[in-house]
Amino acid sequence: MSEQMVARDKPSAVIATMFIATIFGLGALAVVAAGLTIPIPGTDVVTDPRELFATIGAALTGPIGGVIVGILAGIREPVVVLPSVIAHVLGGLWMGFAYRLLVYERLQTPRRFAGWAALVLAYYYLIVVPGFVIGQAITLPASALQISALWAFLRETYVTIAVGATPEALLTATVTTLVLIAVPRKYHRPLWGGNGKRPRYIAVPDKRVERRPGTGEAREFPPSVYSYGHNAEPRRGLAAGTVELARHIKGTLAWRLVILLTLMSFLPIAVMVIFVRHTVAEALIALESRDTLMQARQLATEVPLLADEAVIQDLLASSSDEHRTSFIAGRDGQPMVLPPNIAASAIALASLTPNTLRNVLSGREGTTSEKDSGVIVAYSPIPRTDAVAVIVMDGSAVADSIQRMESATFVQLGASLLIISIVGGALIWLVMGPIRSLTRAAGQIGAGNFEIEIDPSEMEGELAVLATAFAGMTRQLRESYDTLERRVADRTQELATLNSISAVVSRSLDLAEVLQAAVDRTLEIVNLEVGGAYRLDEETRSLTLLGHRGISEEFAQQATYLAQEKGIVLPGLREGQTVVVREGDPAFEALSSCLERERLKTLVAVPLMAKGKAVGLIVLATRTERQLSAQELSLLAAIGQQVGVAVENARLYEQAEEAAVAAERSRLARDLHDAVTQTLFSASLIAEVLPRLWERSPVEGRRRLEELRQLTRGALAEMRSLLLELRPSTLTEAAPGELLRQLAEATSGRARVPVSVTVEGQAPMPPDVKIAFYRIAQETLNNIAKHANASQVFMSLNCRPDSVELRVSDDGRGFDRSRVSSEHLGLGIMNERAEAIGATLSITSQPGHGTQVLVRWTEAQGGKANV
Amino acid sequence: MSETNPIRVLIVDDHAVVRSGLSAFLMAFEDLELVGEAASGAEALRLCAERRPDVVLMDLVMPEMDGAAATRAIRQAFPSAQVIALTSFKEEGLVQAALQAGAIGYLLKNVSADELAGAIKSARLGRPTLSPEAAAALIQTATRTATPGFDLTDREREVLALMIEGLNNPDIAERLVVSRSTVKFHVSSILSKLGVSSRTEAVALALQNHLVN
Repeated sequence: MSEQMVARDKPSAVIATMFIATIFGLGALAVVAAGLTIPIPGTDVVTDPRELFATIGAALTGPIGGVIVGILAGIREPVVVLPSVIAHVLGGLWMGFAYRLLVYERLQTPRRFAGWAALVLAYYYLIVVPGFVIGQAITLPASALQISALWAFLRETYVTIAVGATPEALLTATVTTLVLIAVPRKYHRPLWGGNGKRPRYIAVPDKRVERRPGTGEAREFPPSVYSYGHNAEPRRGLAAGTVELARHIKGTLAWRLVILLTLMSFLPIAVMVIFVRHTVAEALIALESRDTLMQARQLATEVPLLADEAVIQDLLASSSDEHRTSFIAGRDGQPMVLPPNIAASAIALASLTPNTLRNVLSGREGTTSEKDSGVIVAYSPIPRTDAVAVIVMDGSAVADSIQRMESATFVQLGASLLIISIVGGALIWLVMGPIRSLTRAAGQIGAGNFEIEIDPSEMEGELAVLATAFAGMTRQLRESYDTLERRVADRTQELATLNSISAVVSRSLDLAEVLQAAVDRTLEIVNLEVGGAYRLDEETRSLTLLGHRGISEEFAQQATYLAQEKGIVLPGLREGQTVVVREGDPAFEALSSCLERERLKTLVAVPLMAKGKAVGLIVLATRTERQLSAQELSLLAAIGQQVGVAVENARLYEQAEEAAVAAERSRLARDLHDAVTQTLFSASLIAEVLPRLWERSPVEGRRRLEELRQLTRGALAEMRSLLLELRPSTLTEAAPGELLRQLAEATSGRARVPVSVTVEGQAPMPPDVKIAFYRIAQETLNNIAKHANASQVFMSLNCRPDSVELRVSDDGRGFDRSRVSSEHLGLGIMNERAEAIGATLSITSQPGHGTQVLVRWTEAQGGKANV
Repeated sequence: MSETNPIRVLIVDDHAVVRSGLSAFLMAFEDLELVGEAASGAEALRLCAERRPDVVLMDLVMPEMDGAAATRAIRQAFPSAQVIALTSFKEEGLVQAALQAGAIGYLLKNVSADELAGAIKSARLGRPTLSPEAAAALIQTATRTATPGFDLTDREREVLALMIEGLNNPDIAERLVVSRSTVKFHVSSILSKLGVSSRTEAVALALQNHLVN
């Protein structure tokens, strides 16, 4: 109910709050008006439960509500109205402010309960009682207002009222605290002050670490359950244990029910007490009145028979005792005859109310009881006289017996209250037992422990339904949790597998290596024994075997051929589908002659996909019956994707390499072609004019003939070089010395420079080293032919088993290394070639002093470079 | 013919082997005289000033100063010297460049000695000689139909460039800040001027003929 009414500035909410305050105030007023006073056992103090309404009402509705409650609670005080109103209004203000600001917003249960009790005690001793005292001081006559007297008055009044109010204060504090404990926490919120300020709770996440049975592996659960409290650290010790127990108990539903039961039994008992007291008191008074009237009547009949006053006095004395006084009153209402030793003044006829006196003198017999003083007066007119026999009985006789009865009743009621609470509590505890176990189970599940079991057979009725449903939910939770865990594990495994595949296949850019690694790893993963990997030629759609395991290459080739012929694998490749072929399938029968030889039972063809196209195929096979799960197939498909990318990478790399090689080759071919053209042009010119030259000068003719011979030899050498460029495999086959001589001849033919070649050692060298040396020599000679203007070139090659050395030197014009960038003269390319095989290249040159080129390769360097 | 002065010839070629062959050739003819050999355009210019040749045999593709540039420089500085391009290339562009630079002959390095001698003598008299291949290249240039698209307006070229970028009409309209119908008009005009029926053909043709930058 509080939720809608809390907004501070909504008039409707304010009015609602005022309304609730009025209800509480009227409750307090009704308590007083109905005279629902409760004598506190063992004391003379009579109290009433209006402060229960006043405190709770004011705390709930705030200061303004408190004022309303205070006015209504204080207005009906029998004697002292103003002090009472002042005291209660102050009290209402106090509870209104203090509850929200000091208790609700600052203290969390269970401290809040202690705070509340303190608040109520302060309400009594600091607010209401002083309020009364001040109120009374205000009503004092002006003459009493002397400082010292006033101080004494205030002090004495305070002490008197405070002492008298103590039992009531304790009772009120206890009962209201119990109410606070019993109502759910959400009703603790005051209705005033708006929503702005939330209670200052500290959220402490319950982190839970659990160890798996068996492995002992620790698992930390996320803080799925939050509890509110100030204790981030677990408490230790007895006191802490008690606090924990109290915290546990106050939170349980059973405990609340016990308190509510006790409170509810308390209320009818209190009402009963008051009504019984009234009835009993009235009955006692009636009895006493009749008794007294009989005596008065007796007195009235006996008195006229006795003439002697002394005898009458004796008679009067005998019918008097400590509580009652018998006497004869005259018409004027004055005592005529009194018992001896009682003074006329002691007969408090004057203290009787005029009403009583009128009754006494009415000439009729009867009884009158005075409410205020508790005095009972019985009277009977004495026949034939004007006198009346009167018996006045003070109230204490009746009051004593009432009090005795009340005390007995209170003890009995208190005992029965206790018994009800205990028995009721025990019953509730028993009834709540299954709920408690359900709650515990729910708590465990909330904390992530799905192993908890609930036995619904122990429960009945709604609880059995609840428990059955709960057990079902727990089982489902457990199952779905297990499934989830298994799925995560599977997925993790799958990812790890793919990762390892990816790692293996990305280690190399060599297609055969990639595919062999892929086959090996895939077989390991799916636990099959036979496999082959193929590259798919994009144009011819034919497969090339590049890696295999568990079968001979011969068989793999044969199977590939057969499978292609029968058109078995290609449709799968086109679709990018993994194809499984089992014994009995048409596809299997088509290959049966081949498969049976190797006793293969099941084939799986996994296309290797890149950019949505098949680039290859991995075929796995097994010699045992083997069903592949959907999961394994999807894993294989994923592997196919992964390996496909690696294949595509390798292919692109190959292509790029080929393109680079082709570009360089065509450049060289163009250069050579150009050079051959020049040489042949020159040769043909010379040949054409040679007869004429010879005629003019045989010496010159002979020289030119020799030149012609050199030119044609050079052209031939260049043609051979050209062939080498067009068919690079011959380059690796030819002897290094031969290659250099050919280069030398071509150069000397073209550049008209004699090139001498010396070759030492016959040790074979690795193909890549040979090619690199050839290219470097070629580039060097090209440079000499084009730029050096040399008259002599020396070239020497030294082939040792573990090292190769090439020297080329000329006597040309040389160049300044600092003024020639590496892009010029092909120096950059020469350097790159040397670096690629791990050789060292040094070029020394000075303008006018020729150029020396030295390339040196050693096994160790080469080995290092290949790593 | 011995009473007339021999024709002074300068050889320019970066290949030593060619220079050697040409020197042998010149030696065989009495009326031709070798006055110098140069391996580059710059050297040729220097030797021209020094030796005053009547005819220069000029290779075209050379490092440093190329043949066409050297020819132009020689013809400017020494108008009396005639230049014959002697090269192994018969590409149209080279032929045109050489002739525009002022060469009087264009011969390929498959020319016979007699033909070469005749060409040198003709050049001395101011008569041009073209090798059949060079003549064919020139004829081809002259007779080839005009490159399509030369009559495109600037705006049409702009539109064509955007078409090559792959933009459609609305995009082009947005880029050029004109209406779509204007763009459509331009495009159809481009198609008709290029004599093609589709955008794709237009783009292909434009790329082949470098119609736009």
